[in-house]
Amino acid sequence: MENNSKTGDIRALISGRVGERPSLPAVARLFFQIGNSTFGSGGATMIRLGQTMVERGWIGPAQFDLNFTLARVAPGTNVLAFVIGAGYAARGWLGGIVALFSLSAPAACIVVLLTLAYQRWSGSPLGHSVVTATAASIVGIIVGAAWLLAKPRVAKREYLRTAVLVLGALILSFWIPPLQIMAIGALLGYCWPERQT
Amino acid sequence: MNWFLLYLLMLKATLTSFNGAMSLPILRDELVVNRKVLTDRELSAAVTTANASPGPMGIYVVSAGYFIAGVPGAIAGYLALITPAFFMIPLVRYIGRRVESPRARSTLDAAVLASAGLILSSARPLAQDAITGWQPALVAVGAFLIVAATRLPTILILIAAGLLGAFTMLLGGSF
Repeated sequence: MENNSKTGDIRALISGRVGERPSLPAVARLFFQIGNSTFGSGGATMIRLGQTMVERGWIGPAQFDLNFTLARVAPGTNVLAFVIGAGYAARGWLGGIVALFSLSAPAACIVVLLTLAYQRWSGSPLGHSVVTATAASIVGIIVGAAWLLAKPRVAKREYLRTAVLVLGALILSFWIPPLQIMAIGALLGYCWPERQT
Repeated sequence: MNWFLLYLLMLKATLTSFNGAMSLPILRDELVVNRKVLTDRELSAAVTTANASPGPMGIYVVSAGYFIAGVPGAIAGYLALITPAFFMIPLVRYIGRRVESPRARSTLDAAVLASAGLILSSARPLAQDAITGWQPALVAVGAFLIVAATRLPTILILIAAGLLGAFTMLLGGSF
């Protein structure tokens, strides 16, 4: 980590920041713009945000890397964990909170409006047809999401471990609640480490 | 349903998952199976709206909350969505790179794989509700192949499916 003792700024030391500390409105603007113009992949959102913050000198590349990794192990949604971590690195607690709300609150309002639209129009014949078709596509999307979770491990040729964990969870789900199954999976993962490449 | 209880139930799902989709089986178990305050069709609609809007996929809990309890339910869902994010800050400050140890990563990796199995399990009742004929089945298979083989945003898949449903109906067919 760079030595920023000249500036005496502890937060700069943690963030690896090389530019000026961003203002809260600037943080809000960035996270609102990028967070609410990206659809689908949370990974794409994190990368765009991180790259922009590094370009502006708000955080250093090492801090981006750490946030990106930790967001995947933090509980909850990866994107939101990344956002609050990156905002915190750039501008402290307030920066993290402003970043979090700037990205998530507008999207939440859009979701409520779409839900209202669904409730209003799903009863009509046209609405029913559209809803049925999109509901069917959601099934495919969800199954695809499960495949994308397993795919990196398949690519690493961890076939047996992947099959045992995925199929085991699927089968056990008929009798055991999901939370217990994830705990069993985590325990199995602790006792059966993945191959190091 | 009391909005605070709803918040706690949703928080149970979001706090014990490591991405948006992982909370789906737990949320379904609590709200659809155990408490019956949400139907599979509504849950599917909630996931659809989340994919059709910007932001993370996990934002479907806001829609699910709205279906259950209107605006207070949506707020409960939003708070349940953002609460786990605050754990990131102590994670960054105090744990940092230790979480990258091989054993820790292996444990998390296994939990993610187990959740993939759970996601498949939760898709089953959604499929029973949505796939009522060969056309929806074809749409589901097509959506899966596009997600698995391309990087197309899911919103485009939803738009295409919606348009297909609309055209089918306008041409005198049914979906």
